[in-house]
Amino acid sequence: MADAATNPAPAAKGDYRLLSVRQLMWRKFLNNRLAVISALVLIVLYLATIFAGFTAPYGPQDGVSRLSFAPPTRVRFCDENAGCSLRPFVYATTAERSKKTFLLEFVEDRSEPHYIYFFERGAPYKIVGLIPWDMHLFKTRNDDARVSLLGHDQRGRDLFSRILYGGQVSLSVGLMGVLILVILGSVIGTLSGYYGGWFDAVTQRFIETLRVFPEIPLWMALSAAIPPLWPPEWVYAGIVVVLAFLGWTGLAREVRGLTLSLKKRDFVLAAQASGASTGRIVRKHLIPNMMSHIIVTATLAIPVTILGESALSFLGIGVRPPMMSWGLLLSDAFKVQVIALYPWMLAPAGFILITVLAFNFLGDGLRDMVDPFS
Amino acid sequence: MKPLLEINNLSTHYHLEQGLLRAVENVSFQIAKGETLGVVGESGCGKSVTARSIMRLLPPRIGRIAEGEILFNGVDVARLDPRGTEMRDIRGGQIGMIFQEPMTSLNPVHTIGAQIVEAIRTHSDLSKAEAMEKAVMLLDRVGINQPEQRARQYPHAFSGGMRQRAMIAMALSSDPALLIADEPTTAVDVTVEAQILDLIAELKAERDMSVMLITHDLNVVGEVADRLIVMYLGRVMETTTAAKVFDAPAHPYTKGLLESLPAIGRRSRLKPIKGSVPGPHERPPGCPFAPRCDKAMAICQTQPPTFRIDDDTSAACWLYDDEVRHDG
Amino acid sequence: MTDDTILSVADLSLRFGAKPKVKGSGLLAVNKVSFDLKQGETLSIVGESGSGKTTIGRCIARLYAPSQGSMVFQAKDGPVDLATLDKAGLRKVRREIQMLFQDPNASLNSRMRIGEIVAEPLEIHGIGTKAERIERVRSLLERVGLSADAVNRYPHQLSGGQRQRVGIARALTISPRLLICDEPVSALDVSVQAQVLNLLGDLQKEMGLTYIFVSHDLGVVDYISDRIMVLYLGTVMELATRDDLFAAPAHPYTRALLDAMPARVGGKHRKRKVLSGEIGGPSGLRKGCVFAGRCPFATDICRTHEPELRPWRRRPETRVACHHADDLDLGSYDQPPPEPESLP
Repeated sequence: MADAATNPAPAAKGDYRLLSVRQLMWRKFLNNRLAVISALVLIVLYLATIFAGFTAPYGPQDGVSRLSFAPPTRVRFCDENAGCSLRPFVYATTAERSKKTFLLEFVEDRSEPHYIYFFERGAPYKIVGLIPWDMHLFKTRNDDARVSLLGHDQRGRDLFSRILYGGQVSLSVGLMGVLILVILGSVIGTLSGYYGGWFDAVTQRFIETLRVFPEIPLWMALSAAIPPLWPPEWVYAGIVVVLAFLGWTGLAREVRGLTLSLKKRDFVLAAQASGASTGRIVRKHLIPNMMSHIIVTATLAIPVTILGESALSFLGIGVRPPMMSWGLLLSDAFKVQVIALYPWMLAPAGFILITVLAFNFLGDGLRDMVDPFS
Repeated sequence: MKPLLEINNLSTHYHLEQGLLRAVENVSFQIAKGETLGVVGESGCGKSVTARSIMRLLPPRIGRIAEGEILFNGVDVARLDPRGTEMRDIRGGQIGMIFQEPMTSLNPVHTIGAQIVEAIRTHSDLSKAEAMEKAVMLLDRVGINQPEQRARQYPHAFSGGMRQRAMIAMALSSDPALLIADEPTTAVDVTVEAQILDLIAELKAERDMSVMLITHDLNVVGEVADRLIVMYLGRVMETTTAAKVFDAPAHPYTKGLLESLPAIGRRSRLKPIKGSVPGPHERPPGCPFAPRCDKAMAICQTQPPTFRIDDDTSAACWLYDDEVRHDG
Repeated sequence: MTDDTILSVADLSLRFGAKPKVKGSGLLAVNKVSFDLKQGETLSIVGESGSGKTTIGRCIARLYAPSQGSMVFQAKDGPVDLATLDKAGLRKVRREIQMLFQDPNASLNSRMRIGEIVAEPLEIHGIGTKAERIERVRSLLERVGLSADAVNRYPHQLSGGQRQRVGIARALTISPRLLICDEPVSALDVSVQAQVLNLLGDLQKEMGLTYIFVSHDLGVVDYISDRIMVLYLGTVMELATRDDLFAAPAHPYTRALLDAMPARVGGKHRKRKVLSGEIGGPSGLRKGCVFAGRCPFATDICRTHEPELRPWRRRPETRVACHHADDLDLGSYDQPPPEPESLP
């Protein structure tokens, strides 16, 4: 009977083991496939726009007037002229005036295939505006046969490249705006919830007043106040501030509610009973316990900010050329004729849509994740 | 006589993110008609999961009955579809249940009367008026004054004890053969606890009902139960009678529990069980109590079978193995 | 007040949500409570939920500011009235008064490591260098029965009993003299309760601590206390030494509490006597004895005049708030009196 002690029954496979909160959260997040895909999409989008000089085959202002409103070039692998190749190729596009409609029509010049090469040297640019370089992710070796995945605009500029450059503004506005919004919202929310009294009453009434107004007119009014002679960078900063200023109210209310419930919890009382100062309680006990909720709310506020910037720029009161953003690019597709004849001009809307959806799914995934025990 | 409820080798597993949690492992017991069985244990012992298994109220996709049978009136509940009509007829019909925290089991937006009427009408074809009449009668029976007026009130207007009474009225609405009470007095004051236990005992006698009383408090069991089982980490440690458990506890765990219980008039230093209830990730192999047991032996690394001690006592402890006893 | 009195509470009242100009508005949670606490003793406050026992504890820890009354504490630098102390004074006196909470899940910040939690009071009061603090935390954790390695763990990695030990260690890091224990074992498993009770007892002897022990469990209270204060709806019903309270309860409510406790007499569970009705809500304005509505001995005077807390004729050390206390014989804990008859 004694040997039973030396050979304890091995624990069965798949038995319960203790996971750290971090591990649990991570698993919970990975279980939400939509959120994981969204996170990857966002990473790709952000990288592609940050390094727009590299990912875009052409410069944002690099237009060819004969290609005005030329459609996307077809990327081929196989064709009866050139045979099949693993390396994709395009044909040069030439414009011809149609004899029937007298409109310009674009036809492919099938005489010679132009192969697409990866990591090609081309027009010089500066990485993140600092380091000069001339490497591009993909392009053809002949500048007369341009590869344009999403067509050209009126001035014959490659829309795909312009979208990547425009994303620098659109996507960063979301992050910068939310950064300011989080600081404003959590500081005001915490103070309002912790102290209560007149400060709380004043801020709550102020928030209510702000929220009564419909969002878009208020944005419009505030951004109309940005002086038209400001340089584009200042305008950009102004837009960020306007969006953040109107967006913090929701977060402030949420944080106030959390503070109200947290400040009655025993661990806060314990700190008070030990003589902890208000600053210490807020810093050590309130904020860390609200952080996950703040992150979720912030994630869900990013798409709202992105949409806000797009709306303003679309209406012509946001960022101004030569800066560009998705909303501004979309304003080129303002007219019905343009949409009817050149539908690819709507492509920026697709990017806005994907980004906004991805942020929303990611926010949902994070919400599941911060509550790993549910 | 055939028992009303007979559970044989029940194992219920929870499939969690962290892995497999054996919440209930190889549990067997019986409840005769008109009998009160106490189920005693600390947190994580599986007493509530056992009750949920009987009611088939395990969290979907997570909790599963892995093995064993639950014979209620000869029907194996473990094999029924948890959402099927047969199971619905048993749950809340032939088996009633009351919970620890009555406020969370009562719907705050409906009146007490409406909630009892709904419970009655789910399991009978009484008209609304007839059901209301019965609801008022039940409220009166469980000791709520002015039952007509009270039936028109919402749960928040009731005190903790009255809510628990209302829950009991609701559980009784279908004249169940078995009442499962899951820690019914943990959330109420001692003075109210005595009232609720009295009420359950009275109702049991009056209706020849069986009761399964789940509690962490040995004193509660000693007062109202006929027989009891002591559970620890998902297993039954001891099956005994309420009369014997205080004077002659068989299992070292039961002994330890009794010795660590402060009671009025007991001034000598308490003798707590050493260590603490292990978390689900550190369950010992063999006898689950071995790491905390004063009498642990080498053989305790293997799971002991249940040894019969006499007609109504048995314990899962190697101390009662003949060989071990003679060796020692 | 004698020399070894550490805390003297007089006429302490607390109204929640009172409107300043409306007399008797709000919720009277604590009603003119007075008692003295001797150095090194354990005073238990017992009562049902809503009796205000937790509130009194929190008033003394000045988590709530009392509406009325004084609480004179013998601090190291001389007596101070906790009720009227300013912020700076309060901060100083908090080194000497600490609190232990009921639910160790809720009282430990889940985002902090055990080491940070236990060291927090030291940091707040700027005691010691970092190395000294670490040393102090480690030795305290070992003293309360945890391994010193626990410093790097998070609360959810510990069991309930271990968490309560962390709570004890945190309360003791700055060597307080008075510890207010608010139901410290009622959220714990039975097998662990006894460990914590024994630990509290040992620490008291070792460090000369004074305890205010808030509890609803008379069994626990009987085990740990020197004196017991029985509270009902914020009002003191009886204040007696432990032995006196159980040997000769003076107040009908004390008797009712004893009767409601589960207990074994002569190898059998005795039938509990059930007190009719339930504890009422604490109202603003009230007349007479708060217990009159449920009291089997209540007479007209009980409904019109509030009894004062005064020494009991049979045992002068016991103080009781009952008009009829001197005429009643309520037996002792294990010997209930003959069936109550109406008063002569």
